[in-house]
Amino acid sequence: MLEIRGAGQRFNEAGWALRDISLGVAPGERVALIGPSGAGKSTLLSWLNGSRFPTVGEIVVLGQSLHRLNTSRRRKVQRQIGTIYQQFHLINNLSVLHNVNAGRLGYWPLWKSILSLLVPVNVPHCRQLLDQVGIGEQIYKPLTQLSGGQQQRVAIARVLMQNPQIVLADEPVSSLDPERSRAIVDLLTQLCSDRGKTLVASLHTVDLAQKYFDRAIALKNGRLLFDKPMAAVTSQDLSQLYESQDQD
Amino acid sequence: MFGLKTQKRSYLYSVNPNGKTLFWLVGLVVIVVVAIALSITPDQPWLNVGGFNQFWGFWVAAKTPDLSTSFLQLTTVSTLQTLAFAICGTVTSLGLGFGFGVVASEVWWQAIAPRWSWWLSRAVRTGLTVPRSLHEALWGLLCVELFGLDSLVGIVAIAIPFGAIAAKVFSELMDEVPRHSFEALRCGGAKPIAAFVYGILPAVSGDLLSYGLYRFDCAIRSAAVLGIIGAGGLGYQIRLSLQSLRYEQLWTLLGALFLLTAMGDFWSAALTRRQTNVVSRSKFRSKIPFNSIGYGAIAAVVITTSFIWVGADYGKLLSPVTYSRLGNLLVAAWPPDWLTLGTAWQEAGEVMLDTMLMSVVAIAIAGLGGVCFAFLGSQKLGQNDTSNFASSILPRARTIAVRGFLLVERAVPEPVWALLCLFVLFPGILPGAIALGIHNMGVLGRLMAEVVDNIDQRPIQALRHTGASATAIFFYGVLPQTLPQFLGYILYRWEVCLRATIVVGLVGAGGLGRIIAEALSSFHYAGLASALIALFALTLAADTLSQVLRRHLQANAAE
Ligand SMILES: Nc1ncnc2c1ncn2[C@@H]1O[C@H](COP(=O)(O)OP(=O)(O)O)[C@@H](O)[C@H]1O
Ligand SMILES: [Mg+2]
Repeated sequence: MLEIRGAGQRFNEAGWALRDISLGVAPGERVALIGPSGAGKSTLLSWLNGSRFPTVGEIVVLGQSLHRLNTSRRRKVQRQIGTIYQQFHLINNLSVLHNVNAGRLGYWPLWKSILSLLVPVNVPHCRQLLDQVGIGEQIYKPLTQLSGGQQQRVAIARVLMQNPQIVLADEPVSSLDPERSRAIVDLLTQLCSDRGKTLVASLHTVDLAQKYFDRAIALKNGRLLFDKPMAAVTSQDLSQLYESQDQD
Repeated sequence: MFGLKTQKRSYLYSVNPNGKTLFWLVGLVVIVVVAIALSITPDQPWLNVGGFNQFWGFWVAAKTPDLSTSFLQLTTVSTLQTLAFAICGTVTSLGLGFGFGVVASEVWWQAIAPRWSWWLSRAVRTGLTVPRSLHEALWGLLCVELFGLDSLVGIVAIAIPFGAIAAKVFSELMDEVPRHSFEALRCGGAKPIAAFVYGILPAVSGDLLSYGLYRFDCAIRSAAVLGIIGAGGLGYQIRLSLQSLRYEQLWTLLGALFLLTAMGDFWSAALTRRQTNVVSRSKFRSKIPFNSIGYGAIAAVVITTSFIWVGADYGKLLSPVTYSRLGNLLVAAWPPDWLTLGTAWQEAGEVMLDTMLMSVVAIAIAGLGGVCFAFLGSQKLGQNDTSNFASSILPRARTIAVRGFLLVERAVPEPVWALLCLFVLFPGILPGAIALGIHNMGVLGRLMAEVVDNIDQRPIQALRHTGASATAIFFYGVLPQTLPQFLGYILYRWEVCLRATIVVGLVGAGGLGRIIAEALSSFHYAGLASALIALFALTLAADTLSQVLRRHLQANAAE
């Protein structure tokens, strides 16, 4: 489903932000990407959604090698990948409804996208998805009136609207308090397994990863430290992962 | 001007009078003095003593404006027509500005042609400098050639230059929008244009609206000038009354123009202030009784009525006749006939120099007057802390008088001031410069008075508590806060003055405008082309100089 083959990323002369990464993700898996900040988690996820190409190596999504595709083919693959961000990256000046509908932009013809801003289409479906993430009554509110947790729920509803086979989440709960974080991760993993979607999420808190995911991929200083079932992760692994980085 | 407003904060802090600034200031003063000396050339008579009778007659007529029912009716209809021109012109310019703003922005091209985005956006922006650098009156004259005397002239001539300026502002706003939601949409496979429409446009739509309102008072002034050229409305009636020497009617019309300008200023100020003061849009919405749909409906009705009521023949925009005329005009205009500017290069240079001198003298008059009146007309300055009504009545009366005077100055269009000057002055640089100076003094005075009213009062209070004299407070507390912004406005307005030399030239004041008027009346399009190219070059040079100076000023203020 997702495959990284010998990939590495170099941003400047200083060195490799990620190197020698090879791994594969099977359909329906729930993978937690863990590691200290600066380890390269965001970079790895940006490979997977096609917003960045690795300096060396190859990324294969749904059997297609991303950098070999032309733009419109790549866009078709990208429609099968939904991404949720730490800073939400929603559209502040639009209502919740339009933000959720934005998930369909890859499928709609242009005239429909523009028309929908004037006469919203797809409202019942939006409402249904928003109900599922628990904020159905906020549908007509401007996005800025929502709290951080609510906005992340909108982002999840948008991904559901996009209805991809793969969901990527880059630190989806880092800007939320612990109570809300747990609720959001719970919701996200639940929805993904209900619909048989593959989920890859980077997380900075190991306890959430251990509770909700079945596989752990650990990155440290741009290298793959370990990749094993969550149940097999030992406290030794974790202390090695998070110990001070200068000692390696 | 919009740019200046948003940068207000950086100007507000201290000006740093280092050696460089002093050098520039002294240089500017020298240029202005030389320009004034040159424009009053002693070998030619410049005072036309014979015209004083007419001049006097005009002022005497102020006592007896024509208030007959029929004329008042005509005035009302003409006023509404000018207002409608301004509304239609503004709306059209916003549409054009939006469309061209999109294709002038880098982010748009990044979406659809990433590799060429920089070049494509630069190309469009460069192309936009042409419509932007010609005065709306010139566009009006060219439109008259294409459409004949039709209300369409009034709309199109405002829409072209205003639209080009709006496009520049909008494209810069779009490029400033953070890209992350745009990028996020693209990652999800959204088509580039759809990602642009959802990820970039909503962030700037509010700014587009307030910018349009902000430009509305300028559009009213332009509509009046265009009327004089022949588009109809108040300007046209003013021209007829002037030509037939009916000064009583003229006063009535000027009164109407005064009211219209006052209304435009009021609305522009009220609405833009409300827009920019709003921190969160939602709060704004809940505070006012109408929801935005109500406002939208009113606006839609007013705009539609305006478009219908001006009675323009919109079919002419697409008719083959227009395009064959345009073709003929272009064919006749090429190659440009440089001899029109003068039989030798030296003569051509003199005409261009004259035009430049006119703008410099004009901005000197406008700037000096504007600064003085801004302080005189300020509400806060010179008032004591006491809120005693009796002692505040005098300053308040003074404020109202000064503001009224500034309003009169800018309500009367430049060509009308020029015609009045031409009663008593022989054609040349001087009458044009005075006319432009008076009109722009009115504009600058208002802008500067706003600056004075918005200055930080704390340093002034602090100085007062040290027992500083009023003069000392002025030089240490007030001037340092206001001067950088004043200079910024003056430079900006100087660019406008240079473009507007055309309007006063058209009525005979001199410079390139006069050559353009002559070329137009004799259908000498090749000559027109050469004059336009010369004017364009001059405008470009002035804009560049002004921009360099303003950037310098801003850098100093930010230090
Ligand atoms: N666009 C970029 N340019 C240069 N360096 C970058 C860029 N993006 C990330 N990096 C560097 O790559 C490393 C990994 O970053 P990132 O993937 O954001 O880590 P994480 O998400 O695990 O915190 C960091 O050292 C970061 O400084
Ligand atoms: Mg990160």
